[in-house]
Amino acid sequence: MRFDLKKSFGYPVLRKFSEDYINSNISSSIELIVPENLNELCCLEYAVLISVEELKAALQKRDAGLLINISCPKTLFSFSVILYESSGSIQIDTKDLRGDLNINIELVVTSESYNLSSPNIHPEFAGKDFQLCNGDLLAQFMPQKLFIEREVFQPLTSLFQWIPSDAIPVGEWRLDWDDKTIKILINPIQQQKFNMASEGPEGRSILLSAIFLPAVIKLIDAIIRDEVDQDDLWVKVLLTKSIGLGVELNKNTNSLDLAQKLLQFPLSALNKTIFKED
Amino acid sequence: MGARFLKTHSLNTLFQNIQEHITEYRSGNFEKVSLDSQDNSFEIGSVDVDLSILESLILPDKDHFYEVENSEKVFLSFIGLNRYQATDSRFWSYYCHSSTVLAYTRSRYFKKFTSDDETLIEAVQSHIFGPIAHPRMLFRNNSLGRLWWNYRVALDVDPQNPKDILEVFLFHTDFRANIIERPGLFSTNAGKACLLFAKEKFLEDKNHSFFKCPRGKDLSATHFHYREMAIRLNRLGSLRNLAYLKPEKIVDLIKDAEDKFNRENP
Repeated sequence: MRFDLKKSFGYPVLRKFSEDYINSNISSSIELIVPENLNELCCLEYAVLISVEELKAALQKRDAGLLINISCPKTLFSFSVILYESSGSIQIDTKDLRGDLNINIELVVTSESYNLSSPNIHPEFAGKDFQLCNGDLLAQFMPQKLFIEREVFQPLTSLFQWIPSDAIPVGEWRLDWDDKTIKILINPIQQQKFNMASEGPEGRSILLSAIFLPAVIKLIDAIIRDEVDQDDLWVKVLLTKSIGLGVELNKNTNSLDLAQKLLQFPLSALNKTIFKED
Repeated sequence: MGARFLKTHSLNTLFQNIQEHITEYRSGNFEKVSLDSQDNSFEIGSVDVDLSILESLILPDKDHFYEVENSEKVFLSFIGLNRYQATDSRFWSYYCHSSTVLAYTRSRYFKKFTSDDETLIEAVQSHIFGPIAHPRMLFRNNSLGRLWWNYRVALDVDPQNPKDILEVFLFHTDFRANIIERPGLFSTNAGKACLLFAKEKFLEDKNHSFFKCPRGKDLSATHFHYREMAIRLNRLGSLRNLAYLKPEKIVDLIKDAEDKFNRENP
């Protein structure tokens, strides 16, 4: 059921930011572990926290269950399952998933009927008990969105396209992301040099520091300043990779630090290949 | 034979140079471009392609497009193709440039492919490349991909009798569009329920009035048609947990909504 804080169910439903319950808390965490080989199963690990004792007891007694609904609009795939543990995992065929993955977790009545009462219910409900039916919603966790695309599992540099342009002098380059893809515009003569350089580890590490690092810093800044289309593939890939590193982009994000992490520390690559560090 | 995917740079080059290949799109083929070379495409072993089935696509005859038959043929042509791969523009664009599929596409969208260059270029963008612009374009427009996805949806609804579902799903263009162009329907069992209910209506009423409904602004319903079903289903979605309910239960709720509609509109 769509998460809508303005929606009233006529009885209390535990939701974050909702005042249906007092002195209460609800949260969930989701992690999707995707194998490197996209032909294998991926594992969705979930954990929920409900502070209302009566709802916790309902889950334990199996009067209520956790309805986990996964849907992927791009592949028209959806999957729902009822689970009775507050944490666990589900296996999903990775081949069914691509693009945005919407994950909704709800606590729903699974017995024929359920009598809802709790001292935590807001007094506005006048201390009533509520007789609920099978399928009725008891608690709703914040919806979560993940992103699956082959580019997420490839090096960030695979998102870049080299575009030859006579208008750019040799020795200079430009960055463009207006047309859904990230383009590095360079003179064709310069491109030839780069093509040769990228054949060896030394050349690749130099490109990483000289081109990709400043480019990624600029792209992160563009995302932070909301100068990009959030639906563009490269934006979603960059955001997903950042989340994988434990970084959520906001105005306080240090783009230099994040870019180095995303590119697996270009200076380390130089140390290994050029400065011949042991 | 393993399935082939265009390499990204080849796909982009072709897409950017439609005008250059206008003759090939209008009446020729892409043999000279050698899209099956290693420079332009790559093979994956996990999907087998039966070209003989693909070559047997039935060309439209006047207003009969043989969508049911062709959907099945396309699905059966690509053995082992999964959903992830079937959303890939590099895959569909490779096969849409084959001589067989080009001939089918020209015939299927005859007016556009025999029109002026500007219309033709738009048609190539939609029906040959399709998903590059937007993923939903694949379901709607890609001449081959849309057929595969028709069958995929039917198989999801009724794995035993997908053809029965296809008959209903493809009975009316706008009905199909109303279902497949709303991926939200498939986030729960609502999409399946719509098609199961439509199948019942299809079988019980020889006039197929469920599939006849007004278009445009005046949607005041004179009978319970598929747009009315969609409106009622939207309302149901705010009251009942469609992700929890089985498709058959949602069908029952739609029937209740139909009964209510009939009582309100005697």
